[in-house]
Amino acid sequence: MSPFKESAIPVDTFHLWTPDPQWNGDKSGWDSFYSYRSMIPMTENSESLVAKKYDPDTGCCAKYNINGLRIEVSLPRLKFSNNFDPITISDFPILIEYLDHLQSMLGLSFDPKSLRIARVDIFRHLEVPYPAPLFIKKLSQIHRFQHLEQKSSAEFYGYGYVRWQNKSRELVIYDKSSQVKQRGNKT
Amino acid sequence: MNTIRGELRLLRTNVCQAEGIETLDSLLNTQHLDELWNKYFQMLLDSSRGFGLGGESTFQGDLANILENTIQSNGFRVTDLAKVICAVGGIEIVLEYLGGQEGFNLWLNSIDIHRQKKSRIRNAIQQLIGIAAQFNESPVEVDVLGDLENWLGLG
Repeated sequence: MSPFKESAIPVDTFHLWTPDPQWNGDKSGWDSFYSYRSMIPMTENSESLVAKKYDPDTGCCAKYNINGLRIEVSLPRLKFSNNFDPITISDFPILIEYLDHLQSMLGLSFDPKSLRIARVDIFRHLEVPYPAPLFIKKLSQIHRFQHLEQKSSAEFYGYGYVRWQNKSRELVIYDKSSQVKQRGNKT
Repeated sequence: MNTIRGELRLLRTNVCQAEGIETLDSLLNTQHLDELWNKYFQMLLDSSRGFGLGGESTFQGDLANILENTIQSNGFRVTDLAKVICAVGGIEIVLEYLGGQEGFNLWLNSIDIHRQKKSRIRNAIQQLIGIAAQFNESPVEVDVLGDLENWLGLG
């Protein structure tokens, strides 16, 4: 049985990518334009041109360059401004509306259905009646499983955080209560 | 209750594709997302079985943990696993754990106490009493395997 409601989407951050967005050339909605290589004069036709837009309210970030358009979104932050609770399927239109808003703001044109998922974070919470570091300290005895391994010691993070990783996957467990106390709602 | 968060992160397009998450529509298939999460945490659970992570009473662990957290708080230092000292403006207020049913001994260690602001002393004592209250909740049962199973909905 899932700890979340059935209709909950247990996704936090994900990246969307498309190689061929249409851009009308309007720079006004973007935060910044810069070049990968500072020695090359920046022009709109430069292959090293990068355009960026960061939205502090939602944590959403869009980056446009020669490789295409990449959009980073946190689903819960779109609705709650924090990443604690998942949104539900009925909330999903919020994302589509946001992508529409992004297109008009940045002068872009793309079909949301054509966007590819380039990263996804799936999450779940566990409630325990004892301090989370006790759980993490014990679990961190597992240095490696399957092809994932701990590259940083959990002890370094005061047993508030443990991560197993390789180049393409990560599994992270951390003390959410402590993070919420430290950051308030800005998680 | 304390909240632990687990995150499975698929970091590349080809990995997302291989795991059946390709377009926005994939995010609506919550059953598949759950299955994916379960798949990885089941691997973790299987690996953890050989590490003796079953239930045990961890009073000392809890004590150590609280003291570790205490060290991070301003104004505290820890002399050993049973003694917390809060120094406030030159006064040392000591919370000493006496073990078992004996409880705690709170004492002041200062020759200059009358020159200190009462509010500072009161604040320090309240903080120490807060720590003592946490000690009194011990021991706790930490069953990592059981909790992982619950997390996976197997418990």
